[in-house]
Amino acid sequence: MTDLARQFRCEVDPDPPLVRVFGDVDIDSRDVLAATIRDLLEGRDGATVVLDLAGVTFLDSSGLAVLAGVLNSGHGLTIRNPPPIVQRIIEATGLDDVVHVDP
Amino acid sequence: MTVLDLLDEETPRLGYAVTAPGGGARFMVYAEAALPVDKTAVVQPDSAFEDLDYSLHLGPEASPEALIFASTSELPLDGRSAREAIPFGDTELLLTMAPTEQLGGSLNAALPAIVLATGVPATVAAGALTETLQRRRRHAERLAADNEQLLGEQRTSFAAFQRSLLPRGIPAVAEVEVEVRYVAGDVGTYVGGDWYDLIDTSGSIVVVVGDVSGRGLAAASAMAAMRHTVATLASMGLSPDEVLTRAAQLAVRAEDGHFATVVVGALDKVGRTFTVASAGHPPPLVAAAGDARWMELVVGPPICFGPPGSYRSSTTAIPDDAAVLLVTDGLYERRGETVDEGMDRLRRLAGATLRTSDALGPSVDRLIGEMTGGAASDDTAAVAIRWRT
Repeated sequence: MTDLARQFRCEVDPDPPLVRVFGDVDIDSRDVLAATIRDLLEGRDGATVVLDLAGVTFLDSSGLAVLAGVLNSGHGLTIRNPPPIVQRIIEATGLDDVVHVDP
Repeated sequence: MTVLDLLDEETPRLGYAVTAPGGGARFMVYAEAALPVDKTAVVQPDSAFEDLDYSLHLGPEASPEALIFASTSELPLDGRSAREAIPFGDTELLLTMAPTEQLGGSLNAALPAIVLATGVPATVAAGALTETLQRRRRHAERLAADNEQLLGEQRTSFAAFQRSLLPRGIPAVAEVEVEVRYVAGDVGTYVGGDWYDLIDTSGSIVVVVGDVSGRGLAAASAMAAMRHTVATLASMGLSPDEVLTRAAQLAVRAEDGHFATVVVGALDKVGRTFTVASAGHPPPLVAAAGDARWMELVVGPPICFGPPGSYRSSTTAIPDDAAVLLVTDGLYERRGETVDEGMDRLRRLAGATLRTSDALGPSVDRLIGEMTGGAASDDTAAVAIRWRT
């Protein structure tokens, strides 16, 4: 895995709300991701955001906390294209019940 | 240590900084001055030095990169010239002077004397500046020492706070040997949200291991609330799934995304079975006869991760010679490794380490030591339990 692929970045589609996430989602990038989603959902109570995680190279509990924050603020969350490492974390932490996953 | 550097941007600048003792990038004193864009400063026509060109460089080399400024763009000043190095901090300023025209006679003869005359005041000025900087540095060093002490005290009180949240020793239970460990990771001064608990009820021994996401006081406070909720519910004799379902209903969902993974297991003293439910937490490992396996569980969602979930308990028999190990994921999570690889590493090592013939405490220490390589990156809580024979 090249360093460039691991570099965190995200792209946003405003309508319907979609964030494409790339690279490592960890303690260094979680605040940027959380702020991006917050800005995107500003003024749209209860809206569902789609996170396309196809480009994610690493996700730890800091990254999961971003997802928890989205749900805890009353928004819906759909995960799209989770790579195997993310799929496994979702299964291992019993998140398939609360997060809608589009393969 | 004093450093001096040229910042070669659109507007070149000369900066100096006194860094903190012990290195790093902490500046104690920092100042900078803009330089002329073309780095040329013309000598006034009526000045005593109008027949001289000069250049000032940072460091011992008269290279274009090191140029601070000069009276001419035709550099370097070679031919008949004189140089003086003026000590400054841990480097030096190089002053070079040369006649503007290749004249013979008195100017050439006087040149070294002129350089000396210019260099001496410059040296004195640099010396005075160095003295000022050193005074400021001593002051900064005192501040740094004070800060260091405060940070140390803060770290100590965080550690004390963390310890105050963990069970003060664990209840002695007649039927089982228990070993508990909390290993602080090297991720900084902030306390983490890992915890363990052991509650002895009349029919069973309830073991709890949990992990509140995040670090710092908010995570530690959320952990304390969660720990006491779970312990209280468990002490009332509720089954592990009921404990988690109620705890999830009682917990306050935080928009900053603190969530908790918790595993609750009730060890039946009579039936010698282990009944376990998990909220997003790794299942217990059961090690026996040189092998270990992860208990099969229906893992429900973490607590405070969206609306409250529901949980299910699973039960397995715990043979007399088996050891049960409950951990937080800090023990096996590695960047560049999948969850399954990490869990399998722990499983194999637990099988080899938690042997019936060995004392439980040293085995647990050896297992944690080998998993973390002696330096855990994340916090880890672990509970190992085995029937007394």
